[in-house]
Formats: sequence, structure tokens, C-alpha cells
Amino acid sequence: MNARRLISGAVSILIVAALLALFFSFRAHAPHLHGPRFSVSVRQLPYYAFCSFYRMLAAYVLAMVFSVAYGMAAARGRRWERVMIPAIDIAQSVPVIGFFPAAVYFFVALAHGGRLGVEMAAVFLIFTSQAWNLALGVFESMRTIPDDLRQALEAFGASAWLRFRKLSLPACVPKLVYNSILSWVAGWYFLIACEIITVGPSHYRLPGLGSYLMEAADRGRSGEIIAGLTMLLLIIVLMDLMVWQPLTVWAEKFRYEFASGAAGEPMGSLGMLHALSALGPAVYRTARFVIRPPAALLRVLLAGLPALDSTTRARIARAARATGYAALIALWLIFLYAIFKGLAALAHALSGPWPDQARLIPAATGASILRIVVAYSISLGWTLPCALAAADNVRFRRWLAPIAEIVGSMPATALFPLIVLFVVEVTGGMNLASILLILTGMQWYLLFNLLAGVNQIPEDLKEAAHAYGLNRLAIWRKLTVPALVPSIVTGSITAWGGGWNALILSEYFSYRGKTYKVLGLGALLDAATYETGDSMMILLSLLSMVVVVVGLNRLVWRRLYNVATERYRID
Amino acid sequence: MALLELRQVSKSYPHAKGNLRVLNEISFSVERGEFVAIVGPSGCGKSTLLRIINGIIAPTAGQVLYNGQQVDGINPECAMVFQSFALLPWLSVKANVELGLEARGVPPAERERLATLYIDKVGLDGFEEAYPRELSGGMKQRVGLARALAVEPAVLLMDEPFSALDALTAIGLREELLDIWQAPDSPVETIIMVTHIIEEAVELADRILVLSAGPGRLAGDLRVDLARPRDRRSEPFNSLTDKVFSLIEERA
Amino acid sequence: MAPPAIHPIPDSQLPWVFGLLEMLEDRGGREDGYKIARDLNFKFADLLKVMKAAEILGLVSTPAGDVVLEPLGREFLAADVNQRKRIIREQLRKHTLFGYLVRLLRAQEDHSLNKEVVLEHLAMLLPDESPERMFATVVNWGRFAELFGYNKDDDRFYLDEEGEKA
Repeated sequence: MNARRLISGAVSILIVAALLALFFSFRAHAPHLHGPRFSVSVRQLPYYAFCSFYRMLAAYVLAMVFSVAYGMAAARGRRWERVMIPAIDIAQSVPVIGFFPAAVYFFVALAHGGRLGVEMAAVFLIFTSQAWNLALGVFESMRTIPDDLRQALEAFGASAWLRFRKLSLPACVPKLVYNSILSWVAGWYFLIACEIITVGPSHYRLPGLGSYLMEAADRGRSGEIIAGLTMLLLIIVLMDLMVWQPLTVWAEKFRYEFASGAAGEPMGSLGMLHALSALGPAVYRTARFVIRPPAALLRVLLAGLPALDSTTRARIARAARATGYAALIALWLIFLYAIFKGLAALAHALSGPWPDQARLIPAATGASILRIVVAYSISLGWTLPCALAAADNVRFRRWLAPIAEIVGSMPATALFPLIVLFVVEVTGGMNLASILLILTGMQWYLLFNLLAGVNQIPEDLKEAAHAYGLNRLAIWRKLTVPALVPSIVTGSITAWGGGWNALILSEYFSYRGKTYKVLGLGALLDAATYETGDSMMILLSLLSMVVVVVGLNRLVWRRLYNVATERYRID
Repeated sequence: MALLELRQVSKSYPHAKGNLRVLNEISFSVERGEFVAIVGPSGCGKSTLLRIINGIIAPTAGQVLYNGQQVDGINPECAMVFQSFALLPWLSVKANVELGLEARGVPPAERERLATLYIDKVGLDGFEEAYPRELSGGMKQRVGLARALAVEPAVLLMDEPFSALDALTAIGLREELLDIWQAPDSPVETIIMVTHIIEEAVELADRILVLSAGPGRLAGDLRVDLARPRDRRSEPFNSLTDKVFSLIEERA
Repeated sequence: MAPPAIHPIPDSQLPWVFGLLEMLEDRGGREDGYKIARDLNFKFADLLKVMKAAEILGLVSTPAGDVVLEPLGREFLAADVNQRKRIIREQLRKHTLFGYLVRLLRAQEDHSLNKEVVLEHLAMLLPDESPERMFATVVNWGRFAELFGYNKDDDRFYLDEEGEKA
């Protein structure tokens, strides 16, 4: 591995560490939160659902604004791209959940108070789980705008604003819609996780569906758990029918003709209940019908505004550009300042005596990795045969896809309370529970990617294989599995990312007043957060996790990905 | 005074190993009312030349003069038609045609009038609300043409406009182009068309500029004095085609 | 009562028909279909569709594999854009399929239908043809002739009133 990679890897770890330390330095203002008496009555369910939903919405709106700005900036030129895209790479490799307690401290201090700070921390976390994905989508869309279109608009003298409105923004729509669907799935996952996690000395939980489920589990009320899960499922289905399906239909309008169907659709429309997908166009038309009067009104109002002459417009353009640059510089300064303070905090934190527990870190890391490997093997062990079966049997595929979509849209974290309830009550074992929990966070990524890969195997290759009289095993060996290698790799990368996050949640939890934990990095982190409150320990365990994740990403996944796309591409 | 004049126009691109010279000291002038075709092998920089005339690309050296004045940046008297049509897939035909006008700051009512007028002129009346993907290649190029005509440019620049179309469609469109250009109320007096199809150049143009490749330089400047409509099977037509051919071959 | 005998239209675009007419004029009004296909590098099957379309519109006749320019075809070539549209519109009105659709649309209160309904009619009338392709061709020809219009966003297939009156 060359020096450049080594340096960039080290730099990324350093930056993350600095930010972490910075967040943690606010711990002195540990939140004194006293949660309301938690009612698990089903009548409160709509309220909790509403709380969860508005958090998702707030985070999504922020993520959209950010990603459009960031993606477009990154697309402006090679120099911008070279800095901004790797930055996203780094950001994506940090296990989001580990950040949550740190983020809580930071935002609570910022907001001078209890609940608002925690809310902001949750929204911030969901934002981070969505923004990078969306920003990459914007970036890719901008880069694939055909040169001719750009030149045409330029040749006619279109202003930057006009180009943005009519070219750049519409060009981003298909990828944005598709990535938004994925982002919401990820968002739900982390939101529920945030609501499950307790913070502060009084074990405060944000009111929402996640905490509802956890509290219900804590009290052993399986009926309420079912009710909560149903509510969640209902919201997800409704969103799919009323938002994602119509949006997907609308987004078709923005595709370039030569890219019809190929890039953005993993399994038809990534929405649930395929049978109901016919409703999409109907809902879309209703929506248009509803939107028409206000939209027309808006247009009339805008037309009524006095037209600006070219000098004013030029002046406005210049002012906008100046503000843009100023904002950019300001952000950079804030970022550098944060890094600086963070490094100082880091140095300060690490200068104290290292706790005894730190000696457990290597072993704990090993144990955690082992757990993930087991969960990964189990996931691969059932998803790969499924994919192979789906590759051969069209009916199976058509039946499997919608089910996978439905189950995959449900955030696995919502099932944690149920699993905990079940496993602990029934088996009393912790290792099994944690592996199961990690499993739920990994297998769907693998399955989706594999199914998408299956859909992309060209039919004629399959037919040719049959025509040559190859038996099933030979087909699998020579065609299907090699063709699926890129999907296996990308699926594994995402699965492992999900696995780390699930790890933090699953190696340690409180249930019915008792604490269950295993030897593992996540457990060390959580124990430090909830029991001892030892900042050093928290920092060290998080850092170890980041080092392992970044290291694995670069040494293993990046290499595998290059190999997979080079050798196994079907062209 | 010539309408358009190029003086020693050169263009180079920075390359890994130095500079790649695409155009080398091109000089020529175009009079008002001429139909000029620029032909040459692929890679001779003719498309780049067209974009320099339009102003999308700036020359590395040399000047572009319009009506005697040096032009820096986009020349608003020019409008371009692209080989790949360059239509926005999410806008209707009418919206696409209006886009050029909107870019120039024309108010909505006037835009509507001009767009409708030129959509009619290219024979797409009835297709205003169609989307590009509902149209055949020829129709899409008509939209591109309408968009260029709508801004009522003095000079129409065409970059291999019929190369992406099948032969049968191209035949019809070439006829229509001539009709539009020769019509008394046409805003466009001058056309500069880049093409690699020599027969097309001989059929349509008053003057043919031959560019040779590596780097592009002016290899020939021929007048075409045949009366229109021109017969492709006639002797003068064929001898002209041969002459152009040999000019290209000679310098290749 | 059995539905009237409706004939399909070939899935071919009008610009090709016009190009064919130009070619014929160049060649003195008559040419062997196969030769035309060869000269243009067209698949003969595709050219056949163009010939059929031109014939349906009354612009050419096709005796024994040749294509012959008809008087209406010559009139078409000499006409300007708007006159050409009028010629096509008149010819389409006489065609069974287009006539049927015009009557169907007139029977609606707002002279329009949505695509699904039209597809159903097409599937019923022309069971051997793909309704989607028929629809696309009908829309294309109809738009040119300013006989029909189709707004994709509103999903409205409608009678072009201005064209109707002209």
C-alpha cells in the first residue's frame, strides 16, 4: 500500500478522532434530563409516531438542502471533486450510532437545555445517515449531464440561475428520488436506534416509536410491541404509496432516453407491495390535480413580479456568488477551528492515565469482529442460495422481490426490542441475541444487492448457458456466481457497515432492570457511556472502532471492489 | 465588409505531455447571405471551430470578428443546432423552443408568440406538448432547429445536423432547411454548416471550406455555383464532390 | 352490429413517407422498391412499411413492387407546410381507423379520452396489432395532421378542434 494511501487513511482517522473528541469535550455539561413518565398505552401511539416522523422529516429536508449544495459544488471541477468526494467517503465509514451519545452532549450544551438538545442530536444523526448518499447522487447526476445539453444552454446565453432551474436540478431528480427512498430506509433504522438508546444519568429516552417499543419490551407487553410495529409498518406503507410511488412515476420524466430503466431501478420500483404499485400513477395524477390550482396561482404571482433588467440581474448574480464564497470560507474556518479544538481536546483526553479497561480493547475488538463474521456468514449463507434460486426461477424472483422490499423497508432496529424480549426470556443467552441483532442489520443489504445483481444478468447469457447443455451446478459456478461477484462485494461493504452499527446496539442493553453484555467493542463503549462515564474509555473504544472500520474499508473492501468491478464486469 | 471574419484562429488543449493543437491558424471570412459548409475528416477540429465562432469556446490565439468588431464570449447573433439535438428530455417541444428565448430574457408573451411561429415553420404544429422521447430523430432535430430560429439569429450554425438521422429523414430535412433559408421572411440569412458528408455539402452550400486534420488547417475554399435544386446525379455535382474529396485526401 | 372493418396503419413515421416522395421525384416518379431500400441502406421490411403508409395516404401506388408517385403525391410535394397538413388530414379522415377515432372522440362530452380507454378500443378493433404501437403511430400522424392531440401530463387524447374546422 503506497504512502499516499497510508497518509490519507491516517488523516481521515485523525479528523474523525478530533471531531469525536470535540463533541466529547462538552460532556461537562452532561444533560440533566428527566423524561416524562413513559406511557405504553396504545392511545399514545399516534403521538409517538408523530414525534418519530417529524424527526425524520426535519433531517431529510436538511439532508436535501445540504446534498444539493454539496453535490453541485463538488461537480464544479476536478479540484473540488478531489477534496469533497473523499470527504464523503470518510464520513460514510464512521459508525453513526457510536456518535450519538457524543452528539447529544454537544447539542445539549449548544441548546442550553434538555430535550431540544437531544432532539437536535437525533436529527443530526439521521441527517448524517442520509446526506452522504444523497450528495453522491447529486454529484453523479451532475457529472452525467451530456456535454451537448450544457453547451446548448451556454450557447443561448442562459444565466446560471436558469441553468440551475432547467438543467442541473431536473437532471438530479431520478437519482435523488431513488436515493431518497434508500435514505429513508436508513433513516428509520437510525432513528429507531436513537430512540432506543438512553442518554444521561437518568437514562433519558426520546419519545417516539423506538422508545415506545423498548419500553413495551421492558415491561414484557408483547401486545403493545405488536401495536407499535404495526404503526411503524403503516407509516412506511403509507409513505410508499403516497410519496415514493408517485415520485418514482414523476421521476421517469427526467430520465435521458438512453438510460431508460437501467441505472436507477433495483427491482422495478423500490417500493413495497408490488401489486399495489399500479396505484402509483393514480396517486400521481390525483396529486397533480390537487397541486394544479396553487401552482397556477404561484405562477401568476411570479409573473406579476416586475421583470428585472439584465444589469440588476447581473448584480444579483454577483452578490449571490459573493455570499456563496463567503459562506464557503466561513464553513471552512469553522471546520478548521473545530478540528483544532478537537485535536486539543484529543490530546488532553489521551494524556491522562489510561484506564485498566483499555487492556480489554484488543480482545474486545477481536470478539466483535468474530461476531460480525459469524453474522455475515449466516447472512451470506441464506441470501446467496436465495439469489441463485431467484436467478433460475423467475416466479420465485417475482414472489421474493416484494417480500424482500417489505421486510427490508422495516427498520431492523425496530425489531430489537422484540428479539431481546424473545431471546432473553426464552434462552437467557446474550451472545446469541447479539449475533441475531447484528444479523438483522446485515442480511437485507446483502439480499437487496444480490437481487439487484440477479436482475442485471443478461437473459441471453442465461439462455446461451442452457443451450450449451450446462447443468445447474455448472451454470452457478460459471455464470451466476461470477456475475454476482460485484453485487456480493457491494452488498458486503454495506452489510458490514450496518453490522458495526448494529454491534453498538446489540452487545449491551438493559432489560428489565438487568444489564446484559458480552465481551466486545460495542459493550465496552456502552458500558463506559452508561456505567462508568469514563470519557477516556469512550473515546478509546470509539477510536478503535473507527480505526478498524477505516482500516477494513481500505485494506479489504476497496481492493475487493476494484477486483470485482474489473474482472467480473459484464459488458 | 464581411459579416464574419476569422483571423489566424488557433486552439490548443493542455495535455499530459504538452499541448495538443487542434486548430492551426485558420483564417477565412463569410459574407452575409452565404451558405458555407465546412467539411473535413473526423478529428480535424471542425466542431471546435464552430463552437469558437459561436463563442462557447475561446480560441487560444487569433480573433473572431463580427461586423468588424472583435467578439469575446457568446455571440448573440449566432444560434446553434447540435448533432445530438441537445433537447431537455423533461421539457415539452414548446418549452424547449422557448428555452433559447428565455435565456435571452425575452418576456413570456413574446416567447409564446415566437415559439409558436417557428414551431409552425419547421412543420411541428400539433406537437407543441409532445416530449422529446415521443419524437423521431428527424422531429427532434426540427425542434432543435426551431429553437435556434426562434431567437432570430443572423447566423445559423449547424454541427453535423443530419448525421444522426437515417437517410430517408435527412433527405426531407435538407429540403426543408433550404426552403426555410430561402423564404423571404426568414430571419436567418447566413448558414455555416459542419458536415462530414461531402454530398450534403455540395447539395446545400454556396461555398465549401475544406479542413484537413492533425492539426486542423484550411486546405481549400471552393465555390459551388450550381443552381438549386441540385441534381445529385449530374456531372458537375459529381466532379465537385471528387474535387473536395481529393482536397481532403491530399493533405491527409 | 359487428364493428366496421377497421384497417391498421403501418408503424412508420411520416417524415419517412415525405422523404420517399422526394426520392421518387428525383428519380422521375417511379422506382423499384427494392432499389430504393438498397440505395438508402434500409431494411426492405422497413421500407415496405413506408411504402404502405404512403399508399394508405393516397400519395403513391405500389404496382408489382415498384413505387409510383400519384398525382396527389405530386400535389403534396409542391405544397407548403400548411397545405401538406391539410392534404394529410383529408386523407386520414377517409381512413377507417382514424374515422372511427374521430367519431369516438366526438361522442365524448369534452371530445377527449384517456390513453387506457383508447388502448382498449385499439386492442378490440385490431387484435393482431400491438395497441401501444398503434397508439403511438396514431398520435404521431394525428398530431402532424392536426387532427388529434395528446397531452401526456394530463393523459388526454383529444380532437384538435382547430384542425377539425380547417
